[in-house]
Amino acid sequence: MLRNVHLLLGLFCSCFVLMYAISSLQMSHNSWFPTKPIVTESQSKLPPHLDARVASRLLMDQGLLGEMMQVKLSDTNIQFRIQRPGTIYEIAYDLQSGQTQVKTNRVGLVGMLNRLHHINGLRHDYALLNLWSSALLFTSLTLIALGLTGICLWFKFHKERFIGGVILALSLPYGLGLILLMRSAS
Amino acid sequence: MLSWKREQSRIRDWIRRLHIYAGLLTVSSLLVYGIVGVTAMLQDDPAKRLRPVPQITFQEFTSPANLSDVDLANLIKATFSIPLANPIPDWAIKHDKENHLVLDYYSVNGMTRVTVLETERKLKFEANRVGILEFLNRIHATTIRAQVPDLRVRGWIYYNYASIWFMLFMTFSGLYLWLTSRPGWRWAQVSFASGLLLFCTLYWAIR
Repeated sequence: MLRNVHLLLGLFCSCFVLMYAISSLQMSHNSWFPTKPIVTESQSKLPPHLDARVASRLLMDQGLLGEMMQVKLSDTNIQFRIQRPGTIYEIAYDLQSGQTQVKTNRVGLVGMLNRLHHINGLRHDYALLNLWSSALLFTSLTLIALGLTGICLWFKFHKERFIGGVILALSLPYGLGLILLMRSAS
Repeated sequence: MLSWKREQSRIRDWIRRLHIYAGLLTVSSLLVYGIVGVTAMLQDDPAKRLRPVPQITFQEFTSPANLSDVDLANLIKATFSIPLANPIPDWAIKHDKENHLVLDYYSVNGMTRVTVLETERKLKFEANRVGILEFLNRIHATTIRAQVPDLRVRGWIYYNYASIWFMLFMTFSGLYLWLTSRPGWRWAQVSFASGLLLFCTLYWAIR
C-alpha cells in the first residue's frame, strides 16, 4: 500500500518536481542557462481617454493575457504592465490619441520554469495561475508525503536498515541542526 | 540472456539503493521545500502580509575617525556580532534625511537596521525578526551564489544545493525503478500520464 502511494504520488508530480529542480539549478548557476528575454515591439490603437483597467481589459481581449501591474499615470499617458509567467507586456497608452505601444519581453524554457517556480497564492486575476498554484500546492504536499513514506519504506527494507540508519543519523541532525542553529542565532 | 537479466537486476538493486540513500540524505530539505510550498500557496500576497514589529535598542558607540562607510559597517558587524548577517556591499550603504549613516544587515532571520547617530555617539538597532515560515522560505531560497560568511548558513547552503541534485537524481531513478519493475501497472501509467498532461497543458496555456 505504502509503496503504491509513494510510486503514484512520485509519478504524478515528477514533472513538477523536475521543474523545481531545474529552475533551482538555474538560480544557482545563472551562466549555465541564459534567460535573457527576447524583446519585440508593436503598436495598437485603442479609444482615447480610457482608464488603465479598461485599456488593459481591451488589450487582454486582443490576446495580451496576464495580470495588470505597475500602473503609472501622467497627464498625457498611462504606463502599465500585463504580466504572466515568462511574458511581460510593457504598455504605454497615449490618452489623447489612444495610440498604444506594446513592448513584449518573452523568456525561453528555463526562464519560464524559473517564473513558474515563483508563482504563489491562489487568488490571481488570471485564472490559469490559480490552477498552476493548485498543482504546486499538491506537489508541495506530495514532497512531504514522499519524504515520510520514503522513510517508512526504507525501514521496512531490512537489508538497508543499517546503512540507511547511519545516513539518516547523519543527515537529519545535520539538516535540522543547522535549521535550529540558524533560527536560534541571536 | 540469463546473465544480462542478472546484470540488469543488479543495476536495478543499486539504483534502488542509491534512490533510498538520496532520499534519506535529503529528507530535511524535502520537508522544508514542502512546507515552504504549501505556505507560499496558502498565504496572502507578500505585499499585504504584516511586517514584523521592530525591536529597537541603543548602544554606545564612537565612530573611529577616517573610516570609510564600508569599513565602519564591517566594524559594527564585528563589534556587535550581528547574527548571520551578510556583509553590506558598497552600493547598499545609504543615509537618512538627517544624513545619518543607515546600515541594513540582511540575514535569513530578518533584517537588522543600524543607524549611526554620530553626534549622540550611539547606534540605533532595529531588529526585524521574521516568523518561522518566512525563515524557512528564506533558507530554502539560499543558493551557492550568496556570499554569506557565516558557517551555519554556508553549511545549509551546501546541503540545500546538494539536495537539488539529489532531487533530480531521485526523479529519474524513480522513473527508472518504475519502468524496470512494474511498467505495466495501469494505475502508475495513468498517474504518470495525467501528471505529464497536466504539466504540459498548463505550461503551454500559461505561455
